[in-house]
Amino acid sequence: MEDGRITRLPGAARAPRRRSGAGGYLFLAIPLALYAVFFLLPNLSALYNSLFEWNGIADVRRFVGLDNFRRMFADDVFRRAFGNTVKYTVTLVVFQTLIGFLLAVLIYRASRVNNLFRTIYFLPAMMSAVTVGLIWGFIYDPNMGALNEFLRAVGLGALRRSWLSDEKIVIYAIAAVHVWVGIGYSVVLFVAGLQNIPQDLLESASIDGASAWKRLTRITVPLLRPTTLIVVVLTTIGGFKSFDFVYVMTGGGATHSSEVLSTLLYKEAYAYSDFGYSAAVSVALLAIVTVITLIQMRCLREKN
Amino acid sequence: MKAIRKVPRYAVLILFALLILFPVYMVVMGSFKSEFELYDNIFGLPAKIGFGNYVKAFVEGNLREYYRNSLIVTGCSLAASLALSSMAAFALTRLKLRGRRAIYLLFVIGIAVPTQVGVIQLALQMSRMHLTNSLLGLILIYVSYELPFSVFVFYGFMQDIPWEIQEAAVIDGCTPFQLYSRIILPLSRSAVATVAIFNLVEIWNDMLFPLVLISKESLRTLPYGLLQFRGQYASQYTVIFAGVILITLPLVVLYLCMQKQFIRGLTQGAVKG
Repeated sequence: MEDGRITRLPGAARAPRRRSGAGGYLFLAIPLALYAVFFLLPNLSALYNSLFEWNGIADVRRFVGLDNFRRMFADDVFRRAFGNTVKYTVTLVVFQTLIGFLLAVLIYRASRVNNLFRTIYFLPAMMSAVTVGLIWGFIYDPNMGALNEFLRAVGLGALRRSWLSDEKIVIYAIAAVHVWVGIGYSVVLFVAGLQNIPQDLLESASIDGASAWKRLTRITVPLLRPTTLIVVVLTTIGGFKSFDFVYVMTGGGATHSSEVLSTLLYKEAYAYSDFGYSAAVSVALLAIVTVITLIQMRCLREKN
Repeated sequence: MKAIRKVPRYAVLILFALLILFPVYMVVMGSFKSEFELYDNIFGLPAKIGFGNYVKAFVEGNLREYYRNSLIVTGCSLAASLALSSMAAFALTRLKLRGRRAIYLLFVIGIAVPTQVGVIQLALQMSRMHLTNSLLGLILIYVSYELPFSVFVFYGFMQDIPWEIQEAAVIDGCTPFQLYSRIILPLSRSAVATVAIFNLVEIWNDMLFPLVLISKESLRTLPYGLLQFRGQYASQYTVIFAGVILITLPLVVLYLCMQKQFIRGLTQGAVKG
């Protein structure tokens, strides 16, 4: 994604000679104030409130130390939500990476037709999670939904099921929708990575008699490691954060079978008025995402 | 021979293209069908093109009102976000302010924080500030939440603008604000495009903030309004489909006109995680 940027020009690194006056801070005053009040403060309150028991209304909140976290580890619903989040994330990462890579290998050379396919694959990224959730809610509908109708029409009627109320598959069904929306991102990232691989390397390997498969596995895949890492990390974080698709399609049901961390923290607050516990779940989510981000930064630094 | 080898390649590409396009086709066709026709003939073309579902969504479903709210919120947030984030990045890159590195870090840390973490606390805080059920409240939040990524993009771009240009302008008597508005901002057009596109798609499509901040029906924005509308029209999918098209069409048209910029802006935004 470098094409829009000018590279560092000579002299760009040199600092200005004069220090501008305090007036310079005026440019920062409004953005910093908004950021502090509406972004930093609520996130810090989440950390703080995770140490309290509070119903969200009462004036008094009771300090409970780390009790909310202790309770979390023993809570079956939390465990279930965590397990579902992992299943969801793994599904998302595996399919988005593999399909994204496959499609990118097929269309990375710039041509009219390839651009058309790229445009199509990226199209769902324009859609709101609400509209996507409503559309797939219809497709998955057990009675008149398009998927079951399609299966019946092609003679696979035995595979028909209630996709969103079958406890065993609901979480995968929702993850599939996320793949549908996100596939364009991984295609575009892989295409950019593939375009950076020197063509003469592949050509000389081809002259030396390496088969297409060998070129792919011995040259392309190893050289794509940084791109693959970025795709894997982005989809992992996306998976852990996912809220909208689950909220719109099932709300976490039936009986928590599609509950994920972010729907749980929403429910603990609004359905059960357990704001301290909700804050603790959100801190757990933040911790997980922070660890993944740190791993990503570490890997990217090693690459340089 | 070569033509035959191409067959599996196109088979794969077309298969996945159909997986994307078929649901879209179904929604477009469904939005013109009657409820009975939808279930009688899910995959076919509508018997006749009628806009009844659209009228119903727009008028009875109140999408007209939600449209106005979404336009106000998205438009104001977008303008404020562009102005404030470019000003902040300008101050952080082009003026030698004390502590600018720390302030920049404070902003970009926000990129890694998932929105869901603070959203409940934010809702409580907004209600204490009497900013729930208010479009202004939504705008303030969108601007604040888009700052980390927007500042990050402008910062990356502005720090590479050559100092010679700035020095010449300062010698000519440019004030810092003129430097920002006449020189640095116009030179950052491609960053403006990236930030604008990313913010536009995120804000227009957002459901989470209205979900926790707006309870008044007349103040709903489009995606959240359509979601509530499902409850109201239960299984009237034809009307819901018309609503889906009304929400999605503006962005899809823009996307088809400016694919390159959209793909670049959104992919950069995805790095936001």
